[in-house]
Amino acid sequence: MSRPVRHRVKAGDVLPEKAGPDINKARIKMVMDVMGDVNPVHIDEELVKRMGLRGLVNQGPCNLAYITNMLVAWTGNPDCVKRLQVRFHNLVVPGDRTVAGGTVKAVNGDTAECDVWLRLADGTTMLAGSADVAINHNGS
Amino acid sequence: MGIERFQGYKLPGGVFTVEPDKHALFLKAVDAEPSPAGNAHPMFAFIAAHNGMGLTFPQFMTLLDAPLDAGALFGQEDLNIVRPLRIGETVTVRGSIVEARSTKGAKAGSFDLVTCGLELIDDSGTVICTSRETYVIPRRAA
Repeated sequence: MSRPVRHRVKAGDVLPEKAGPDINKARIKMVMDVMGDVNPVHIDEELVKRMGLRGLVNQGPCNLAYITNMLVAWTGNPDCVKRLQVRFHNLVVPGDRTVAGGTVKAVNGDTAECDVWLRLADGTTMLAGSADVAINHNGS
Repeated sequence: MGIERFQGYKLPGGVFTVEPDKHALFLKAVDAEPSPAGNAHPMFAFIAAHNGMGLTFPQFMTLLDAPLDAGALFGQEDLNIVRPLRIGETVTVRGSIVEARSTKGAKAGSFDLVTCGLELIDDSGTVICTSRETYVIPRRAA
């Protein structure tokens, strides 16, 4: 289990960044199998070329999961996500190196309201939005 | 009428079961840690809503008069988890198209934005998750 939150959470706290996993066709295929996903943007190289995209499209839930992984690593609780609201700004494709991060906007009881994002190493924002995250104020 | 005619369309809905083998495959695909409590990964709320709305992706595209290779993508997601899904749990999915409109971008050209509002309901009748997912569907010139 990842290291949990070790201090009293407060507005302005910067969440520890977390690098995403390698993104490749094999992982995209796994998620197609999980979701029964037949959208050709995940497998059709000719289609994505015609569309002018950088490559095959990594699934949206995966990109969200990289943000979730960051929140889990921060809280130490795989069930910490109460709400996740994001806009997909750019497509993530095989070979991309992503990093997820965020900032605490406010704390209400046992919930931290956070700005969250997923970026490439060069700073390009791929996803951005907000998350409500269960925290333990007494985290030791 | 354009895509706006689908606003308010009631989706067929259905059921979705968090199958343990598929759940394990998803955790592997995204390098996620399992929940010690036996709960499903939060993204399974999204996946359950998406897969349980009662239309396959090809059927959804046909409904919207869009070809399968239109290049439809997710544009936004708003996921609210009242309680996590459990691995092995079956939930009922219900919902509708809550917004549908056409727009145009300087670089992207013409496209439709279609938002589905979906609820996951457990066997006690309680709404345990909601998902509001927006699809971006490029429209090529005829």
